[in-house]
Amino acid sequence: MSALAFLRRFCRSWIAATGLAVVVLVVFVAVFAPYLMPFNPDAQDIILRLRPPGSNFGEGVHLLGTDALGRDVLSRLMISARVSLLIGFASVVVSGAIGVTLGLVMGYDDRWLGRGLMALTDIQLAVPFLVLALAVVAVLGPSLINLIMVLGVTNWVQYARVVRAESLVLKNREFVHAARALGASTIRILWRHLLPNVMSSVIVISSLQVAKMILLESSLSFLGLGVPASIPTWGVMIADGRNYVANAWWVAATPGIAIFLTVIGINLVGDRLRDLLDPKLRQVET
Amino acid sequence: MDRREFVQTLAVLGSGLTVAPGQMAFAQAAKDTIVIAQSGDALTMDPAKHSHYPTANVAFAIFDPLITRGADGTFKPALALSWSNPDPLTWEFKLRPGVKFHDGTPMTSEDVKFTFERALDPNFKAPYFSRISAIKKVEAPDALTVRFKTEAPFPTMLFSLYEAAFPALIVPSAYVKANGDALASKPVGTGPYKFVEWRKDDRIVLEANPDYWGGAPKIKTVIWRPIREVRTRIAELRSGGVDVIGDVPPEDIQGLERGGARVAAVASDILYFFHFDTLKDSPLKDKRVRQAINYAIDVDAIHKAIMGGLGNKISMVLPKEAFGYDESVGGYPFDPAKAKQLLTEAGYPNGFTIPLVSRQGRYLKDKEVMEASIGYLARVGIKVEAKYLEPGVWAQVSEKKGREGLIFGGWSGLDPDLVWYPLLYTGEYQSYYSNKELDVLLAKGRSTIDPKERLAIYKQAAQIMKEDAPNVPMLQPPLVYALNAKLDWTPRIDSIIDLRAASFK
Amino acid sequence: MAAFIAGRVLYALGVVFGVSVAVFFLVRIGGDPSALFLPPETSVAEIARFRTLMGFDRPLLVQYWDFITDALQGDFGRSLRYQQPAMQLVLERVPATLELSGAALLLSLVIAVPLAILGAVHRGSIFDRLGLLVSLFGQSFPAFWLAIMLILLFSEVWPVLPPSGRGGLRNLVLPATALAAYSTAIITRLLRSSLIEVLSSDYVRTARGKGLSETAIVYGHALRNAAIPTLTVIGLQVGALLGGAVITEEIFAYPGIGRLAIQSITNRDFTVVQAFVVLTAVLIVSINLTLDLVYAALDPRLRRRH
Repeated sequence: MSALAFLRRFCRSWIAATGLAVVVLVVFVAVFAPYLMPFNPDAQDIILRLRPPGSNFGEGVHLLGTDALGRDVLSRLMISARVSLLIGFASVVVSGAIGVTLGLVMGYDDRWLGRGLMALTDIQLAVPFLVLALAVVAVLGPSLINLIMVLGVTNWVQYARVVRAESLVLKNREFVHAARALGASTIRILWRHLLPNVMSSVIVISSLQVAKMILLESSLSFLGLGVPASIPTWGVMIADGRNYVANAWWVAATPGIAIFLTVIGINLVGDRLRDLLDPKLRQVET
Repeated sequence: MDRREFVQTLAVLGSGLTVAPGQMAFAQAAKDTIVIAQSGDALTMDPAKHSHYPTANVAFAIFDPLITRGADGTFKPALALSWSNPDPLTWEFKLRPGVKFHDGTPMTSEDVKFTFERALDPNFKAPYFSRISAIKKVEAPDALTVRFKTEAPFPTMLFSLYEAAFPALIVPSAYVKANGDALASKPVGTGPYKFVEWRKDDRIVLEANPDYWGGAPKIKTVIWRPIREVRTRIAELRSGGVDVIGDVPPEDIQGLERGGARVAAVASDILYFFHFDTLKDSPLKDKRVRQAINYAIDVDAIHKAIMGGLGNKISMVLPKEAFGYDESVGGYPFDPAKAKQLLTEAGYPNGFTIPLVSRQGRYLKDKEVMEASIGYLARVGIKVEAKYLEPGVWAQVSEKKGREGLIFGGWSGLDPDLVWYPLLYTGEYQSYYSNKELDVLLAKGRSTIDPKERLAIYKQAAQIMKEDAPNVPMLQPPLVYALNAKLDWTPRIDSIIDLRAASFK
Repeated sequence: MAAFIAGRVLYALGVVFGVSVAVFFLVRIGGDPSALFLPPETSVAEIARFRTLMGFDRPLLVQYWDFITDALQGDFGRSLRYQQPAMQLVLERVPATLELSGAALLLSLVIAVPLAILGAVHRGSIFDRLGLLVSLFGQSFPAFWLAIMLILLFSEVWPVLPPSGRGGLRNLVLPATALAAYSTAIITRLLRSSLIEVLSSDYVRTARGKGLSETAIVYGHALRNAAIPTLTVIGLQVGALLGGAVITEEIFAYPGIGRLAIQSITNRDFTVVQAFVVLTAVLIVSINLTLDLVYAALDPRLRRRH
């Protein structure tokens, strides 16, 4: 099936098409933020702080008002879309790489190695996310890369479980036996024969995980364990603005809405992918 | 429709079912219970076993110190009636006769001696050991006399003995000896309130001590509740669930007052300032750069806009209320052109990049003050790379002396020796600066207990600091409380909540 | 069967042991809390003295040996901040958390189960759309944002409910709602798709063929079978749900273990974090163990899988 045909099939559900449109829009804004931003997102004027949406101080309209330091909220939303999305996608790449590798190994080798890794999975599930997150922040120091690593190393279990279950079945299929008989190495079998067959599940899980990561990042920021960089994420914007919700709702509410819409969009796309690619995953929490 | 209209509309819509916000909140009959929401629960009821202000507030309702801080900032008698210095190394206190602990035993010099000896024992592991560690020996020549001995003259002794030096609250020796750890869960003190109940993370209940030596407190019951989120605290106050909340953002003051609450604010003794790492190689080694940074930040604007004009703008790193604060030394005005000129002279016409390391969210709007300053520095070409560390990481970086660039302090102390010595004396753990001339003065200032002599010394020190600019003095942020309008209570500069004089109208 | 049970129990114990090792070293790799516990003016020498007194400077393996030998006897040490037995601090907050998560779960079930059933039976109906909406929205809010908005709306703008504390049913409404959003979404979605699958399975078709009423089929057969995968997922998600409780308890000032956990984590109160993590691990592992055993009892083929 060609990509275009797939897209056409995908968009047969108008809800999913809407979700895709939202995601495309957000990605577009993130990529072209420097050209789209009405103001310099770092330019502050603390005299003109917490002004409501629509304010104009002679240099243009602040469509979403200004924040606690007089910075343009819309411009900050746009530039921080980059970091939020980057965290969402990059951490999924990390967790996917870990989870798929472990899942393939666990499924293919059902003896000591596989079972040992299975125990690791269960241990991972039983250690609270925040304990791991804090340990990483404490050791490596807070940074964008470290945050991505934290989210990556704490969220691979979903992949591992699904991929393991699939490769347990796949490894007894004829084409795997054949490859082994022809002298293919284990790594080659995992990489060339098993991986392509679990990819559809991986894509589905990944799409839904991106949404989850964006939400988790915002929780970490709320608890003060988020990105310390000068470029904010949506989570940092909510965390910083939450004390003003009664007087300047736009500061915390707009990034909240941005997260909400983005996550809904991603979830809609993920749900549709799941229906099309791998319907049995409907009964697995991703 | 702006938010206010929106709220009013909703209130009108809702008024069929309930009362509009604020109006019902305080319309209750004469109250004899006060509910205070703090950011955290107490950690223990043992006053010497913590370094935590919410705990200290509860402890100060149950226990008394020897001396206390009066509304005017001077030290006033509490369990001690008077004090004197027979010699510079001795502090003698005459105790108040007839004071009884909640369990009925009389308070004597033995209890005072026991209190300090217990907390000074290294195996006791008192977190605030450093606050009282200058005391080398405690003597109790008779039942109502106590003598503290120091090894060297210790001019800030009284700061080690009032309520903000947590282990200085007097505990009953007989009770502690007989019951061991019980003090931590069932405290017995001499204070205005007796312990009733502690439901962890939920509430602490205290009841008035009718036999209090300072007169029975007017409010019969005190309930302390830990509520960490500012918005939750405000919502509780508005709905009448609590009577006192702290750390109110200045932006909320108007709305709270309109809703029928009273707002009480005072400048705190916490200091907002940047100090410079002048030890590692960086542009900050150059005095002109440090002066330029002082000129570049508009502290007045920050004070007005972010703090709502509350608290104090300071021109030296010391609270205005502190011993030795001298407005006449003067600070740096906001003058970006002058800053640019100094930077050019120092060889940085295009500015430079410098790190800023700090923790955030500890004090009122600390992050906003830092970011606003970063914005001002950007205008003169200094690019600041901010790094906000998680508290535990920050503590470790500090311990390893790993702070660098611009350092946002957060420090408190009402005497130059408590602020300047640890922050500026060569080789001190928090000092990132070295100046022989200043070192001599700071050492001299702590070697005499004569206030006049000390005042002269610190005036000289202030001049050096002004010229050499080892830091950027900024603000004493305000402590903003919102209160039940019927409550008569005054906040204190050191953020300790004293309920001794509180009452409901 | 006995060998299978023994094997599973042994495995579960192994996992708990692994968790204890993991948490012990994880909380410590970031260094100890000596400097954090002492006031800022404390000298380096003073911090070092405190560190020695607390025993933080001993080799990690020695510390671990002490921890594990004491823990096996039920002694998790004293909290560094509270100076009380760590496990006691955690256990005394368990009832509050059970109350809150119980209320949230109940709320989730009350909303999710009818929506899922109606959605699965009448696919494409208004109920189905509503269910999809609920499951979409519920998992798309940042949890803390929802909590703050609930307080703003129902305690400030329209003050009908208390924003914090534990006490009556009224205190539970807001935090339980905030906490229930996510689990409602998951349960609605999973139960709905499981039901759809079961309803199209062979034996349901047979049952229909026998003339059983649709109501009898849905409530008598399909629901029970569809509940199993949903339960599995909830079992796997207990850890994540507890994570949600952390933020909810913090914002609503609710005196449960989540709040203790986050404060102990940020303050490096090692002993309390250890007690908390081991306790939750035991909880999570025993839930999964129970589910494993139940399935094995229902379906003997599963016994060979492990």
